[in-house]
Amino acid sequence: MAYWSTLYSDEDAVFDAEFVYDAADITPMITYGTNPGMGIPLTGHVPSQVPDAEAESFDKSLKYMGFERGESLLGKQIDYVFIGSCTNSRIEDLRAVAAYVQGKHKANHVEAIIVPGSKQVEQQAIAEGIDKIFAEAGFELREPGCSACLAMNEDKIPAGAYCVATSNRNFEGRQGPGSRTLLASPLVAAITAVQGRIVDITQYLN
Amino acid sequence: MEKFQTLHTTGVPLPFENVDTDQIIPARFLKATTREGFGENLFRDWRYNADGSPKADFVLNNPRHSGEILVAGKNFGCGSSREHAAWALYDAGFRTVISSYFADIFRGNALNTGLLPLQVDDKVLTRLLAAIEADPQLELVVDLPAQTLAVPAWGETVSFAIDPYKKECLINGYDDIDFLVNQKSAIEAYEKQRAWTW
Repeated sequence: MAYWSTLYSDEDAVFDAEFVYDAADITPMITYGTNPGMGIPLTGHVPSQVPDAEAESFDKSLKYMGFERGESLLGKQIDYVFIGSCTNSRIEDLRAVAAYVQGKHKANHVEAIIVPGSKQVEQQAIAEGIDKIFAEAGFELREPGCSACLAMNEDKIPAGAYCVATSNRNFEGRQGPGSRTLLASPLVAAITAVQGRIVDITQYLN
Repeated sequence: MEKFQTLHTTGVPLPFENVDTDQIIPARFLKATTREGFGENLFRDWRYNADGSPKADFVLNNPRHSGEILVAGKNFGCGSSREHAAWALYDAGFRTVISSYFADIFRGNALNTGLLPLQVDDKVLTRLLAAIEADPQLELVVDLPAQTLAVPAWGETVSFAIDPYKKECLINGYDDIDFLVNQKSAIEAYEKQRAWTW
């Protein structure tokens, strides 16, 4: 923080636009569509109204995902959980996941994979014993790499299946042809893996 | 890279917003070391069923539509940065994409491929998409030196913006490397007159 505080904008800097957010106002989010902007609070609803110009793309996206306008995602069964990608598999993320899943087990019908962000993160996770917590909870620790974020190797989500993923890409077919991706944070992903469905995580925290 | 001056052709309508690079060319087809051959898998999962048979309702499989210009919804080329998206469009025979907004990285990749990203406003785009649907033979004329898109049937011409450097590159058929190599004699002359300090 001391170093960060030395990195500041000039006093006379001019910005095109300024946005102020209070992190406390942001509840855990999840995506319901096929681009990262299509997100809602976990306890929210898929929008029921969109501008006419966007309606065709919007409905195409919902059809792909198998969701309806206006519906809640709570209770939706999930088939896969992917905790990984360059976006969300730092050692801090893996620690947060481990802290939650310790002493629990993933739901039987869920396939849960964890892919460290780098070889260094993998080694650190092993050194901290986090790998054993994952193994006991039924989460498979796989080789660092793009894995199921990109579906270029064998880590693919089958057509029609739902995957809660911690990457930042949820485009059609991104995790394999026909795959359906819901983006969420590592903690939301971990809770989803244990519950086997989308839940209001505030009711399930340790 | 091929030179781009003018283009006289028809347009292929793709009226979806936020067309991302995973749709343009899915990641599983990126394993190649040259730019050629990606056109075969352009829009792969929109264009073909899992068994490889064509999807009749996708525009590239519709014999009504052909041409060297893809006319697509707002925010074309968003998502993962992959040059292959521009290469696939080019390899499939497109020379221009018209949209009301291009994702930045796609825009850059297209310009370095010889594919012109031609940005028009939302109203022009909506009219164009409707007009091409109604008449797939609608003539479109792109004049890069003049920076205009003409629709003779409308008796109208609209201007478009392009970075002057990239315009020069496209007209001459240069990508960024070609441009630099073309400056070789000037670089060498500069190096000769420069007093080296190490």
